[in-house]
Amino acid sequence: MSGIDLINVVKRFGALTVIDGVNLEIAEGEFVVFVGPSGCGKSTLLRMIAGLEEISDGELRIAGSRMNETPPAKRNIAMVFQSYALYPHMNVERNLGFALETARLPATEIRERVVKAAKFLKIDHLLERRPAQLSGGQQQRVAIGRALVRQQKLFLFDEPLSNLDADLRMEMRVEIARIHREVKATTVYVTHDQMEAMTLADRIVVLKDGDIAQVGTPMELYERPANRFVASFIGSPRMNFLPGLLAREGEESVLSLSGRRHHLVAYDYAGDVTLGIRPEDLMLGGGDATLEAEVLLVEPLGGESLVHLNVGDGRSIVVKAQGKPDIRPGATTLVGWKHERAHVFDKEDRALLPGRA
Amino acid sequence: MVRSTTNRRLHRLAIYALFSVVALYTLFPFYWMIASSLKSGQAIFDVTFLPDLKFNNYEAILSDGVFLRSLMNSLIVAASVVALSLGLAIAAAYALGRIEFRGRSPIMFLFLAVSMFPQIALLSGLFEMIRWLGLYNTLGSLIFAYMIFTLPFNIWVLTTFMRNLPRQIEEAAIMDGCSPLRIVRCIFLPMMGPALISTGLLAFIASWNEFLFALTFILTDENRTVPVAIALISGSSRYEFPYGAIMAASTIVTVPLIVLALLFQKYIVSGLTAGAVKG
Repeated sequence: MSGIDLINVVKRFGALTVIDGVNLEIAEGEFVVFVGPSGCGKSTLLRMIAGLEEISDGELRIAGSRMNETPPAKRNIAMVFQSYALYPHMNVERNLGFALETARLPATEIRERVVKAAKFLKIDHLLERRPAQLSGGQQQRVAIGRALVRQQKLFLFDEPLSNLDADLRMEMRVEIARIHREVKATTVYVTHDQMEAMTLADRIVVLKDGDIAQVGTPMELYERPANRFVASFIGSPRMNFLPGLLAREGEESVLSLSGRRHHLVAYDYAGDVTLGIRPEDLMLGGGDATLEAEVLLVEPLGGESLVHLNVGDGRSIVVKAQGKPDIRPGATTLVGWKHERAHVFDKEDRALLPGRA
Repeated sequence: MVRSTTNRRLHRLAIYALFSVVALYTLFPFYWMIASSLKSGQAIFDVTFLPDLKFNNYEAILSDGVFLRSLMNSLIVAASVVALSLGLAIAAAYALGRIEFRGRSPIMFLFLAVSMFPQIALLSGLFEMIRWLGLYNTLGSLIFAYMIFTLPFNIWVLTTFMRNLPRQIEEAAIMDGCSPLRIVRCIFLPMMGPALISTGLLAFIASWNEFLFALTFILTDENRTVPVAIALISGSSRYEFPYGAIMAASTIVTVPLIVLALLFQKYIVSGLTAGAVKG
C-alpha cells in the first residue's frame, strides 16, 4: 500500500534540468538506495519525494495516489537528514516527540511512543540530554528515532552516515539494516558511498546527470553493469579498463588487446571496445587471457594485497590478490583473467552481451 | 629568562594601567552622580569624593507623585516598544531571512537608510503624523515614534541571525508537520534567544533614555517619561536648582538598565557578535 511510483519526473531550476525524466517503481517494504557522484541529482530526487522540492513535470505517486501537490507533512513520510537537524534547544525526549506534539497526540501516548523508540535505538538513558551533549552516533540515533516515533510507512534517508567516522558508520549501517528488517517501512536512502549501497539495498538506483544509469539488485549491478559508468561506480577498488578492438570471425568474436588476440563467444558488434575487469577477477600468473605487466607497487592490506601493474602505454591496472604475493616492484609478471569475468563495453560505453548488439 | 619575566610583568602592569584609565573615564560620571545624590543640602557644592550617605534626596524624589508617575510611563513605553518591535521584527526577519522574493535586498537597505536620518529631521513630519493620528500627548505617540528607530535595527539584526539558522532544521520541522508559524514560535525563537534578548534590551534602553521626542510629543506632566521629567524637576524657588534631587532621580532611572544588562550579560555578547560576524 505504500509503494512509490515516479513517472517521468522532471526537476528544472530555471534553464537547468537537474532530474531528466526519471521512471521508477518502488515496492512496499523495499529498501532502495539512490547512489551516484555528487551533482547527479540523487538528493534532489529524494527531496522531491519528500515534498521539499517542487516537481517540475511528471507525477509522483505514493500508495497509488498523486502526491505532486500534497504538502510534505501530509505525505506520511519520515525523513532523516545528513546534518541530523536536531532541534538544539530541546532535549532528546522533546526532539523525539516534537512531531507527535505538533500532531496534538495525547501526552501519554507521546511518552509511550518516545520511550519505545528510544529503547529500540538504545538511547533511552539519554532522554534528558540536549543534542549538543551527545556524540555524533547518538545524535544520529536520535535523528532516526525522530523518524521512527511517527510510525510512518515511508522512510527517507539523506546521506545519514556521511558525518560519522568510519567505525560509527559501520555500526550505524548495521543498525539501519536492523531497523528496516524490524520496521519493514518502505525506505529510500541516498548515499554517495557504494559500499553503503551494496550492503543495505534491496535494489540500487545508480544516477548520473539527473538520469537513471541502472536499476538492479546489488549483485546484478556488480555482476552485470549496464554501462561503464555503473561498472566503475560499483565495486572497490574500481574496475580496470583496457582499450581493445572487437572483430567478428565466423562463429566467434576476436578481441585484440595490447597486440594479443583473444577468442571470445560471438558478439554482434565490431569496432573499438573497452574491456573491463574487476581487480578481484584478475589473477597473477594465469587465466584464459593474459597480459605481460611490470609491477609498480604492492599494497598489503593484511588478508589481501593490491598490486598495481603497468601493462604498457602508461596504463596501470590494479589486481586484488590473496595474502601477500611474493613479487617486488620492477619485476615482470603475467596477469590474466577468465573470459566470463570480463565485461565488454562499446564505443558509447554500453555493456555488450554475447550475441546481442 | 629574568628579562622576559620582568618584561611580562611590565606588560601586565601596562594593561592594568590602561584598564584603570578606561574604567575611571567611563565610571566616574556614574560615581559622581551617585555620590552627589547621597549628599544633602549645601554639601553638594563641596568637592568631596566620598558620599555622605544621606538619603533625604531619595525620600524627596520617591514621595513625588509626578516622578513616580513618569517612571511608570517610561516603563510602559519601553516595554511596549520592546514587545511591538520584537514582534514585528521577528515576522519581518522570517520573511526577509527565509523566504526568497524579489526586492529583498532593496528592502533591507531601505530599513538601514530609514535608521540613518537624524531624529531632529523627522521631528516636524512625525509631529504632524502624530497629531493626525490623534496620539498627541499620549504614551502612544512615543511608542509610535520610538518604533521608527528600534524597528530597522531589530529587523536588520534578526534577519541576519535568522538567515544563518540551518536550513535542514527548518526542513525537519516541515517534515514534522509544522506550519510556518509553529516553526518560528517553537524552533526559531528559542534558537534566537540571544539575538532577541540583545535587540530587545537595546530597544528598551533607547526608548528609556529618549529625550527629544518625549519632550515634543507630550504636553502634560502626567504623561511624561522619566528623562524629560528629570529635566523639568525644579526647586521651591526659581533661584534654587535641586541638584541633589536630580542626581537621585537619575540614579533611580539608571538602576533598571544596569539590572537588565547584568541579568542578560552573557546573552548580549553572544547575540551581538552572532549578528555582527555573520552579517
